[in-house]
Amino acid sequence: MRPEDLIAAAESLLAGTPGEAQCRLAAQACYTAALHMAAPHVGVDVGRDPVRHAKVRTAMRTARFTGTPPRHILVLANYFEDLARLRQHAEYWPDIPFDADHADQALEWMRGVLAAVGR
Amino acid sequence: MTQPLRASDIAAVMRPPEALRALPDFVPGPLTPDRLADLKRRADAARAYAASVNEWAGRVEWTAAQIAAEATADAVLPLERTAITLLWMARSAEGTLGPMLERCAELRGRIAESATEEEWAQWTGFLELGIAAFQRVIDTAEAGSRRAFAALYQAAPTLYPGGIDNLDPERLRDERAVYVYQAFVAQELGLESEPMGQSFGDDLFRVLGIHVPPGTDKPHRVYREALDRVHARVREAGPEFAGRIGFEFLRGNHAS
Repeated sequence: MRPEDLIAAAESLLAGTPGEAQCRLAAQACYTAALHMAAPHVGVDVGRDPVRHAKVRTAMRTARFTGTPPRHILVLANYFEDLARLRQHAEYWPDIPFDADHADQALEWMRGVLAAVGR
Repeated sequence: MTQPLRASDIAAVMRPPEALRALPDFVPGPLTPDRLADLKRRADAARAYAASVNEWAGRVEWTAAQIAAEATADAVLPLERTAITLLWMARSAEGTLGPMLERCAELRGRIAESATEEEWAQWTGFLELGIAAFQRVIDTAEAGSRRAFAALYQAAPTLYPGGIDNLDPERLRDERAVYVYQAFVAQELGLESEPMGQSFGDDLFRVLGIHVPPGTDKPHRVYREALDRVHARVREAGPEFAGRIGFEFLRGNHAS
């Protein structure tokens, strides 16, 4: 499975009139796609590293890449902090409402990342 | 005339030569030719490092003096960018070079316990140079940072509500990033915005709340390209602040 598949799944979840659960799952899917896209470029093994989220977030916000990153990873670095925030909200804080606009915001940031792939 | 800090100087000082990072084991007795050559190579490397530290220290002192001379309430934020670099160097020197200094001092102590006068002279030349250079980096960065922030605090104390004794460079960059973004959002989106924070347990996210016209549907889509330009301008003007914040779009008093 590729990160792009997760973004496509988020698009499906938000089609029509999504419920709050769909919105939360879509934001989580976008973040997971972002995590898997970013991790190889900041030297984090997502499968094995127990502090994978914090390490990738720190590296992305301080632009500490293991080499020269491709264009779409630089775009992702701009929005990774916001994706982490939206995921934190969606995944761990069920008592704070999470609406379709917030989910679509996460998706829109990832659309921009995908648009930069190969450019 | 002394010149301002350069990234290459900082990198050279913060990453000492291998000769000082990986230390040999002290072996009493006559030196083999190989060991003698190794100690000479280490002394040469330590001497070169001490020379780069010397030049860097002059630049740090000059930079701190410039900040102190130019610190006025209106000039604090641009000057603070450089002051944060000094602070980062102070913390980095303490955390990275401090343990290296300790290891050099420990080796020197072990040599002192059993070395003859001749062995002492042969073995400790590079160590003395390294210890002095490490100590100079740590002291100079700390003094430069303190001098700079003391001047900034005096010029604008309200910017430092917790004082300046326990400043963290990363946290300061987080706090300032939202203001840097605010300025470029005003230019690129033509919209007013306000710094916000969002806490999830212990996790604090810095957020810029952007006021969008009432009735704007999916403002994140409407303004995404403009936000891309904002990010690009932040990376150009102050790359250390880029990618540190999130965005909320506000209609009236309500986040969307």
